[in-house]
This record gives sequence, structure tokens and C-alpha cells, in this order.
Amino acid sequence: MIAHSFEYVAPSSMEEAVSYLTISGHSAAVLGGGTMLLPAMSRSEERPSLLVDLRRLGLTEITERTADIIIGARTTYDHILASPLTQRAAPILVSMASGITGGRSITGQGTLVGSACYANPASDIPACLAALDARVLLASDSGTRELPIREFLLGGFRTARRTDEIATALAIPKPRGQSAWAYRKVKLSESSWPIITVACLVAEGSEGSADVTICIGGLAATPLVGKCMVETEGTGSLETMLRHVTEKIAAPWTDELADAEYRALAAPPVARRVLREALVKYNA
Amino acid sequence: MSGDALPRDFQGPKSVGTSVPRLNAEAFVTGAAVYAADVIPSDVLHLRVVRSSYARAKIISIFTKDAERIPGFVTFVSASDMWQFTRPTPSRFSKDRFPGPLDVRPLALDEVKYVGEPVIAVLAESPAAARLAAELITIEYEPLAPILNPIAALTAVEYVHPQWKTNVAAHDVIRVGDPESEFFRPDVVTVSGKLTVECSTSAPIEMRSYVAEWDPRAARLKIQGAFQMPHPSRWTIAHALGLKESQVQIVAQNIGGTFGLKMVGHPEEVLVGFLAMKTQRRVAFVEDRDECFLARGREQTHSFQIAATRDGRITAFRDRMVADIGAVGAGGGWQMALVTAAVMPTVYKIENCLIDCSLATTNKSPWQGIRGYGKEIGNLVVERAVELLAAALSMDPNELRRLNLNPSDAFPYRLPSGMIVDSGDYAPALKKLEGMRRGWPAQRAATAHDETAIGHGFAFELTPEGAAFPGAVPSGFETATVKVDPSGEITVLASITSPGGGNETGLAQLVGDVFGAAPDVITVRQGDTEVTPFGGGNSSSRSLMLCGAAAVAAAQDVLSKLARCAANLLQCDPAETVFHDGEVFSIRSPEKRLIFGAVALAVYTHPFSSGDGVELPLQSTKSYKAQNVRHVPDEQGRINAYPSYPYSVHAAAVEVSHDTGVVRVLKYSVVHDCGTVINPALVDGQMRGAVVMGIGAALWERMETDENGRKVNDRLKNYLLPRALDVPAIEIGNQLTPSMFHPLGMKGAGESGVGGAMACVINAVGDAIGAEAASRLDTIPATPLRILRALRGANS
Repeated sequence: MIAHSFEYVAPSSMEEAVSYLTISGHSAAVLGGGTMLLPAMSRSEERPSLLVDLRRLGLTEITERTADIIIGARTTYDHILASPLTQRAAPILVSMASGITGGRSITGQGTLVGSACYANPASDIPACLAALDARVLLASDSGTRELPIREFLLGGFRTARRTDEIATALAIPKPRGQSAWAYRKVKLSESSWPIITVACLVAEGSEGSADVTICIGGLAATPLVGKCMVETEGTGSLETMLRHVTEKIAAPWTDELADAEYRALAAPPVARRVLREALVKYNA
Repeated sequence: MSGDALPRDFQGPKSVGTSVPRLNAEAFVTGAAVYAADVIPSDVLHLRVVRSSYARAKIISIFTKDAERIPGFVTFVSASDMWQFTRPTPSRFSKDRFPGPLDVRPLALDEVKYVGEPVIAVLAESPAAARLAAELITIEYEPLAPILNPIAALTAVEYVHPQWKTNVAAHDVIRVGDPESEFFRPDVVTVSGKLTVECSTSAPIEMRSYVAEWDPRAARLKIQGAFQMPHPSRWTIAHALGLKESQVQIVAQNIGGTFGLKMVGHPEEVLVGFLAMKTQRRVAFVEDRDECFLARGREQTHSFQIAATRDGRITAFRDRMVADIGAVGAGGGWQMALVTAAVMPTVYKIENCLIDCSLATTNKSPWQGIRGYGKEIGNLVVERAVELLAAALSMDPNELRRLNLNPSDAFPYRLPSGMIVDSGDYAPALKKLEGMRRGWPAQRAATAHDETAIGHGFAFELTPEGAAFPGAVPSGFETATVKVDPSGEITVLASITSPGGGNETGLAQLVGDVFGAAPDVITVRQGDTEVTPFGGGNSSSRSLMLCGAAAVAAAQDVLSKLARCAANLLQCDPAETVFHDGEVFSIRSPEKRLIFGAVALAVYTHPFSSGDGVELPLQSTKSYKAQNVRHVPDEQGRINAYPSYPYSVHAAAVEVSHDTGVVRVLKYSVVHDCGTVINPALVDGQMRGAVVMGIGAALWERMETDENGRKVNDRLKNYLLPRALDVPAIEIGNQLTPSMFHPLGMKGAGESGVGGAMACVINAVGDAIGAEAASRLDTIPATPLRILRALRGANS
């Protein structure tokens, strides 16, 4: 039950949708899949006076642009799982989506863009998008803009989305050349949310080297990103990179399920295994 | 009639002992089953409770003007409006243990004792309006330093319940032999350990709800809701509201899980009744998850020592436990801590024991019943002690267990607490269980290449069932009415309720067998104080053990009346009549058959001819009072409040990640013995549910409180219950050792498994991380952080 009263609109164009936000952005909420927003409203933790529902806007497609694939604002985890395009161009997202629990009421309802906007450090999306160098497409009355995910995510449950903006899509760069990936998350049990997420991408660099990107979610308020170039055989620089990434954490994350101590203990060994797994795949 | 009149060897054809499908399963599976919140009409007033946000504070003022402006707001009630018209809510349990008198009221008057304590009751025309109005009521408090540490509370000079002048709510010292000197003998190996058990909660999927209706002309109050003990609830509510019991009707709908939560004494039960009388409107309350999580339990610390000769004979055990029972309410949850102490040292023969148990009252919400009812923790402590001792002796833990189990010819044996363990066959059960590990992954330590280690763990559980505490309402008996109507319909009116486990099916099997009728033609009614005889409802796994025996006695009585009529019709002796498959015949001339319903009708229609000699009515009410209960103290001053002692022995294989401390339970087997089984599938179902709860409590379930006494967990996303994928298939083996103290040989079933699961999973984790790290794993649940700390040399 949602106790407080609020206005509800389901506009049929993006122009109309953003115009609502221009008028009452500060007290409005954008409704995507609602898997986070509606429970928060029923607990009275969120009390928007206006709910702008995107349901009439489509935005469920996963499409291809020159260098990117575009994931619409209402694309769900189930859409990701069913799409040949993500299978080919962003398989790490498929792996991530296959690990979402909660049954179809979550996987068929929850959206990637919604999760990015929710910006929960203890969730699957931030590290995956950071590893993919995803960009968030935003629309408002004053036009559109794109933000790299690492600029979009400002902190725990904080993003650079202005209250008059709607995140309309994610743009994910298509891989060029040989690439490999690995993704793992640490959960305390099946009903636990992710405590630590580690996403690793290895892409073909110049002259036989490989560009390794590793992103660790849940250790700090925003994903920690390490990049390094490795010779195909050598991995010494990886350990240095990992230490660099995990040792100096400005804003350690903590929540009801896990404190900073646990995250700091669990993250490095998991990251090491994910790195190794991605490199093994790459070299195979 | 006592159970003595029942034949020892129960002759029934013979659904008893078979896995008859649950009679009402279809209604539950298709969603047709009616739960408490389903019966709330649309035009009721909705109650929302404004709760204390402080653990301990004086109430200075209450400001309601803003709330009154909410559309739909109707009224509010504070303690000062209510106390003069009501009386303290009685406790279902005797308060003899307490240091002094205690009045419990549904609303706090001038001082709050825990975060979440009801202060104001708000009524509105809709749930939303009630919530919005409640949010706008401002209570000004003068905060006091809360008493949150149970150890400090024991000697503090500030009191949770000031009239007691102590925070020691109860203290029990259980002693046998000479434990002190045993520990100083030079030839014994002594192991010491600590175990902290954090707070957990029952977390049923269906939370509590009630709807109360006051009929002013009849001066009667009807409350429908989530009650597992309708008659005791009627008693407490009638007392609190100053009504006669006959003025109050309690109706319990199907229960979507309770595990002890929906016992007696919640403030809202009295509030809805009072408010319905005051407003002359129907009043409903539906609990939310945050409120449901106020039900605390299990929080306690143990410091134990166990001693054995070098060849593994356990000579002494002692334990000092302090339970943090929170504030004391009208419910009886606090009693669980005393049961924890009383069950030790469980299945083991230890001549010298000392168990010192203190119940500390603190500024946290009261304990409510939770499955296991304390026994799970006593078993956990004993099994951890045995495991640590085995490591110190360099013995296989099961060899140590075998050496010290009470032998099969030792029954009945007396526990140090005075409990008399009726029957058992422990060593063969362990042997059977060890044979059930075929195909299990082998134990192995973690290596540099492999992040996981695999451990196996075992544990016994002794589960006293059928609690009959002196002074409890009621204590140790249940009642059934069996009647046969003119149409031949056989109806059982049972004093027990079903928490979802299926005891209505068990009753139908028992009664059906008496009449030679299939279980699915028996009508079983439960949970309505206007319809069913007085009884304890559902608690302590005693439903079928006590009410089943009563129903069999009542059915046999009615059968003897029908047999008289049938004998008249068949012109034979009543002893020669056979009731079989809906027909009645004489054993001497089976070809002449009467329809069962025709015999019943004849009793009603021809009482002067065919029914001649039948003692009317065609109805019988019998109670069955448990045997093997002793309320007169024995020579050591102890009583025995439990008649039956089922046991089980558990084994788990777990995988522990050395990277993350995350545990996966890979394999699980259990051998269970609850005496005579009425319906194996239903008993196995209870065991599986209990094992899953035990696994959850061992690894994940944890109700945290911050330094101000505020609960951290508020939903099922941050209180981690096990899910299907967390739990492997649970293989169950059975032993059958009938109780010599029950006419059918039955013992309780339902709670067995929680403690065994907790202990064997922890023992398996200990096996996986190695004995040295395991000795540091001293806090339950064994969360990943605690396991990592233990691996890295720090206490958890």
C-alpha cells in the first residue's frame, strides 16, 4: 500500500514526459520497472508528488548504432537475455542478467537504465556498465546529453541526472577485435543483494598487448576502475593495478548486509579470480 | 478419560502410517484458502499503531492536531484514554519465575521500554489514512539511557521494569553431580568455549492481522485473525477488556506460517477489541513487515566447559548462559531461554553438570515464540562443545558421540533439569545416518588453486515436545469432540489448530480408522471458540500427540454407540460388528451389510427400536492429558514439563569459500525418530521446514539492533531467509521408537530439526575451515565476515 497521494501520468511522447519534469522535477519520480521505486513508496521512504510512467514510450528495444549498441530505458533483464545483439556485442550483460534473482517479477520488470539511475553500489549494474565504458543518454526540455557512466554515478544512490532529465538509454561501445570478459558477484545467500561485483573486460590492444579493464562494485560508493596494458603472457602489472585499485578507497561502502571490513577482505581475491578468468578466456 | 483406556496396540485399517494427501491441499495450492486478512470487510476502521522511537524514554507530551486534519482520520487512543477501562493483559504462563508482579498493557502510559512499543492507536477509514495520520502524531520524549547490554543489565541499578528493582527476570541453576571438582581432576582434558547467538525472528510470510466486531445488543465481541491459540487468546483478551469469556469469540483462519509468532499476548489483539467496543465499528489491524520484525528471539551468550577422560568419556559439562529477553510483554517468549538450559546435555550421558541460566530483561522488544522454542540453542551449545572436545582429544567427533550417547537400554533417563526422556535409540540412528552419505563430495581443505574447502558436520538434536508448564493456560491436555450426524457425516471438533503443517489430515486419519472410513470423508473443524472445545491451539508440537489421542478416544466412544445400534440391526453382539469402508457388518455373517450412514440415521430416527440401548447423544468429548509430566518437584527439586522426547541426528556437507567466507550447503541428511508416525509425508515436511529454518539461523538470519536500540532490519531483503536455491535436497531416514508414555506411541513432531540443522551446519563449516579456525568461530550466524575473521586468526 502506498499511503500518500500523488499524481500519475503516462505520457505518450518523450517531449511530454520531460515537460512534466520541467514543471515539477524536484518532487517527481520517473517510473521505469518500479522494482525499487514502488516498494520504497509503499514504505513511505519515497514520496513523489508526481509519477511519470514511461510505459507508453516503448523504449524496450536493443538496437545497433555505428559504434554502439543502444539499450532503451525500459529494457529489462529478460530483454537482455533474449537479445542476440547483447549476446554478441555485450555478453557480460547477458551473464549479469542471468544472475538476477527474484523471478520474473524482477527480471521481466526491472530495467538496466532504472538500476543505473537508482545507483545502488550494492547492485549488479554499476560495475558492469563501468567496465563496458557505457554512456547514459539523458533528455530534458533543453535538449539531450550523454554522460560516461563514471561521470554519471556520483555516489551511493546519487547520479548526475538532473531532476528535469529522463535517462532514455544506455550506449555501450561495441567491442573491436578480440575480446574476453568475466563477471562475478559475491552474495551472502540467494536472497542477498550483491555485496561485491567484479567485471573484467580484456580487449585487443596494439602490438600483441591486451587492454585490461577491471571494475569493482560494492567496495566503494561508485565502481573502482583499474586499467592496464599487459603483454599476453605477463601478469605482474595486474597485481600492482589491483593493489592500486583496492587499497586506497576514499569512500568505503557499507550497508545492512556487509560492512567495509568484509568488502575489503572479499574484494581482492574475487577480483584476482575474475582477472585470471578473463585472461584465460582471452588467451584461449 | 485418560489415555490408559486406549488400546496400546492401536488397531486401525489403516490410513494411519500412510502418507494420505493433505485434505485441504488443493485450497492452498489454488489460492482458495482463506487467510486472516482475507476476511477484513471493506467498511472497517483501520488501526495504525504509533510506536516508540526510543528504547527507553519518558513520554512528555503527545501532539495530535496535525493528524486529526488527515481526511479519513477518525480517532486516536492513548494509554490514558484506555487504562481506566481495561485491565492488565494476563500472561498465558505463570509469572512465578519473575522477581515481582508485572502489569502489561497494550499501550505505554508514561515510559517506553523498547523501540516499537505501542504508544498511540490511530483509527481511520482507510489503511492509508491511518498511516498518514499516525505519521503526523508527534510524541515528545525525554530520552533515558537504554539498557541494551544483557550482561551489564544483570547488575545494573537502572531497571527496565522499575517495579522489579532488578533486570534479572529469571534465574535457574541446574546441577547434577559434582561438576566443579571434575574439572580439576588431573586426568581429564578440558575444553572451554564461548558461543554468542544473535537475535533472529520467525518471519512468517503471512504476518499478523485481526478484525474485531462488537455487537452492542448482544454485548459480544468477535475477533477473527491470525491466532494459533484461539482459546488462550480469548482468555487473555476477555481478561484485559473486563469481559466474560463467553462474551468473546475468537475465530482463527488458515495460517500462512507462524513458527510461534501467533501465540498469545500481542498488544494489537487487545487493542482491536477495545477500539471496536469504543467506536461501535469493526476495527482491523494488519501488521507490516517492519512490525513483524519486532518479534525477537534466541539472543544469548554461552560460556561452556566440557571435560573428558583421554579415552573420550565425557565426565563434566558446565555452561553459564545469559539470554537477552528484551522487555517482558504478555507473551511467553522469554520462557524459551529456560528451555535452552533445561535440555542440556541432551542425548549424552554426563554425570556432572552445572547450567547457570540468567534471563536479562533489556530495552529491546519482547521475545516471541520461535520454532525450536529454546531447545535448538541448547542442542547447538552441546554439539559445539562435543565438536571442540573431539578436536582437543584428536578423536573423530562421531566416535566421541558414540562413546557418550545414552545407550538404548537407558530409557527413560533423567536430564539434570528433571526432564524424563521417554524413549530413543541413538547409536543406531547415527549409524544409519553415516550410511546415508554415499555420493557426498569428500572433505577437503582449500588449496592455492581451489578457493573452496568442503566440510562434513554432524549433530544430534533432542527435542522435548508437548510442553505442559505448570500454570500455563492450558497445561498439557487437549480435547476433541467427535460426532456423527443423521446423514452419517463424521465431524471432529478439535481444540488444536493447524499452523499449516496438516494436523487436520492426521486427525481425519486417526478418526477415520476408528470408523473404518476414508480420511477424506471426515470433517475436521478447528480454530473457532464457539465451535471447538477449549484447548491450547497450536504449540510445542503437541497437536496430534495430545488431540489425536483425545480424538481416537472420543471416536471409539461414538463407535461403541453405533456398534450397539448396528448389533440391534444385524442381530449380533456389538463386539462382533465390523466397521469397514463405509459399511457395517457382523464378523459372523459378513454378507449382510449395512451402510454406515443408515446405522447413524437409525440412532436418530428409531431410538426406541434399532437404537435401543444406545447412550445418546451420538457424540463424545474426550480430553487426553499427557503422561510423563511431573509438576510435583522430585527429590532434587525439579519438575518435568515435557512428556515426549523425539530426537534426530543430522549431517551436512558444506562448501566454504576461503576468498569470501560464503557457505553453500551441498548435501543434507537426517535420521528422525518421533515414535509412531500418523502421516510420514507430513512429518517429513515438518522436518524439512525445520531444517531449512536451522540452516537459515546458522548462516544468515540476523536481527541487528544499533547502539540506540533501534532495529536495523526492516524487510526480507535485509533479513536473509533461505531460498530454494540455498538448500539442497534433504534426505530423511527414519527410526521408530514408540513412546512408552503415549497410548499410540506418539511423540511430538514439528519443531524437530532446527537445532540439529544449526549445529551440524556450524560443525561442517568448522570442519571445512579446520579445527583451529573453528575454535574461533564463536558467533551465530556464521556470516561470511565471521568465517573470514576466524580463518585469519581473529575471534568472530
